[in-house]
Amino acid sequence: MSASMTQTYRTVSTRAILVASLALGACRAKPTPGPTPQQQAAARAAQDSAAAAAASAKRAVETPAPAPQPTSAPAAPAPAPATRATATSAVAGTGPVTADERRAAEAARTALLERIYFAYDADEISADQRAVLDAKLPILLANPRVRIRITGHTDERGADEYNLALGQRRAAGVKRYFTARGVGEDRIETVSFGRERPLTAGHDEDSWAKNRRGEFEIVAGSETLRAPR
Amino acid sequence: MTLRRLLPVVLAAAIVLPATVRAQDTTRSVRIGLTYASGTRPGVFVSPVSGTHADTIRAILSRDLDYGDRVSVIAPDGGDPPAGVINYGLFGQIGAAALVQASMTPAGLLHVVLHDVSAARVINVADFPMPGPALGPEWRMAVHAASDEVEYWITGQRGLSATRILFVRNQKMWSVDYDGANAAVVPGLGAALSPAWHPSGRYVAYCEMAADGTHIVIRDLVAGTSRQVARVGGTNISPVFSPDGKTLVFAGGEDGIDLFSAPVVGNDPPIRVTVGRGSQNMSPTFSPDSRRVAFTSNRLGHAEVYITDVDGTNVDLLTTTVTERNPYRSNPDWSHDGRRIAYQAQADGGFQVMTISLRDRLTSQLTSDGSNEDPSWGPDDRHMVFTSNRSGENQIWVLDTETFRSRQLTRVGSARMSSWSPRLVSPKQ
Repeated sequence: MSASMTQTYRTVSTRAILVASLALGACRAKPTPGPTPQQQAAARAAQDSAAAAAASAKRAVETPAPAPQPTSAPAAPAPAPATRATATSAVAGTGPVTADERRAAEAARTALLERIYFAYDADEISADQRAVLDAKLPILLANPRVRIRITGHTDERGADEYNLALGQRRAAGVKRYFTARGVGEDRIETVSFGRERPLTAGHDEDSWAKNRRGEFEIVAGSETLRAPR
Repeated sequence: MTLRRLLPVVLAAAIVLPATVRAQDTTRSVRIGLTYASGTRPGVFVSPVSGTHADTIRAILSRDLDYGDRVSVIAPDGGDPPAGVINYGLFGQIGAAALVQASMTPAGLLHVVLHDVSAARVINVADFPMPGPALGPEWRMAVHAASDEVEYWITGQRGLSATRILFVRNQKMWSVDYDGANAAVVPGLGAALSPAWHPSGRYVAYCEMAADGTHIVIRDLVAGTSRQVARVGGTNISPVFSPDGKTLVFAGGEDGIDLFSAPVVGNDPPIRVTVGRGSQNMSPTFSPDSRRVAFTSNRLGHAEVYITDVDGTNVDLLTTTVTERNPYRSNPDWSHDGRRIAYQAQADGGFQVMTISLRDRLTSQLTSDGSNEDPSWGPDDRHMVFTSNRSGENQIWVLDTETFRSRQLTRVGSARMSSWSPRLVSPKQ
């Protein structure tokens, strides 16, 4: 798996979350080119988070209204209904407004979604990976409405069930890192996929290292995300 | 033609040769036996079956007795014996200690007769109901049940052919008959991992994987209904039923994974079994009395197999840690007779299936070809299924732990997480 492919995945993940934002009313995304097969696969992996975000927005209010239809999202499914009420208040509240703010918000989003990696059979966070988390921390603290999901993954070695447990401990360790530094516990959920959703299919140390990872999804508050001041 | 092919054998064996020569192996031109035969297993000849689907029934009976690894099935290469009066002397000549005769009755029953060749008499007769459409899954299962009964008549040990194996492929749960027939996805389930049979054979518990994580589901295979087990926070994986069928134990948690137990009936919240203090504890398997659980834990920093009482007391390290580079032992499966636990241990960059005796804690390595993982005992405590990559990709294999004869069960690729059912047809009264 090349670095460029990693970048592609990240881009598409971001795009899928933009689709979630569209579902919540902020429909200003530019048309996107047709996805490659890899992008489609990545978008499929991300679509769950988009649907979950829309669904949680739906649960948050009592008077559902029809969702605006995204017109420029070939790789994503039709989102679940959301509400104008939520979206409007959100945009009117703390969301980015100017072009500069939007660019800064996108940078914050990218930092928030950046993966971290682990050593073999370990849930400890190494010093260099701690720096990746430290870049997310001010964003989380500046965006109290943002909720994230951390998914823990392992490489293909070892027993399947052991790896599901290990992925959970990895995700929990990252959550602990944030909650110990002031992020509310109820803003972070953790999930393990063990070895079930590898990023790359190789059977060598390079592939294993890429698959031993923690991923981040924004499950709520994405539309209000802004860069820390 | 059959009779014509057999005639020379009849003449040679029964008429021409004197008794002293007949006693020698070299004269048994039609004796096939099996290459792995130890010589102590009784030879069994399965006669041609009369009635509908005769060839299929004979093939299934023969294969079942062969796969049971307790008798030596004699192939009819020299032709089949003539119908009519049974020439016990002839069957003795070709090495048969027992003769199985089956026929379909006009009422649709499978009528099976077992002859003791040396005593020259019938020793057992039974009729087996044949449910479902001919050649269908339940019909085949009924033939398997007859085979298992015949094996019991001959050896005193019931066969294990009336069973199925659940496994996982691409996060779909599959079911396959013990002989490789009827491999198919179990319909109506989500992304599934770690299937585990209820001792009744009617229910299966498994780990379902959704976007927001994993939870435990109990599926009624007969009614086609599912029920989600009360979950604990975080991940919920590796369920197993107790042998008495009353308790479900699984692994769950967010910051550290512990074992939890919950009653199978009702909605009582799960009770924590292990105190892992942030370590991971999973892959439980019950002792036959439903009072103890073996499981994998990394509480010492690497995976080993432990045993605990199901109330959480008396925790004991089972697999001894010795000095080695990457100790890693996991996926225990307790034999139904309680005598040994199978597990996987890291070796040479892969895994091998091991057993450890509960009496003296002696271990033995059962596999060496490729990487072999995740053993599950069959109901006879002699055969097991496991995942192996020896054919080039992960498939489910069956191993006879006494002769080390193995056979590939699945042909679909990327198969893993196999679980051998209990016997699915009750023995005849």
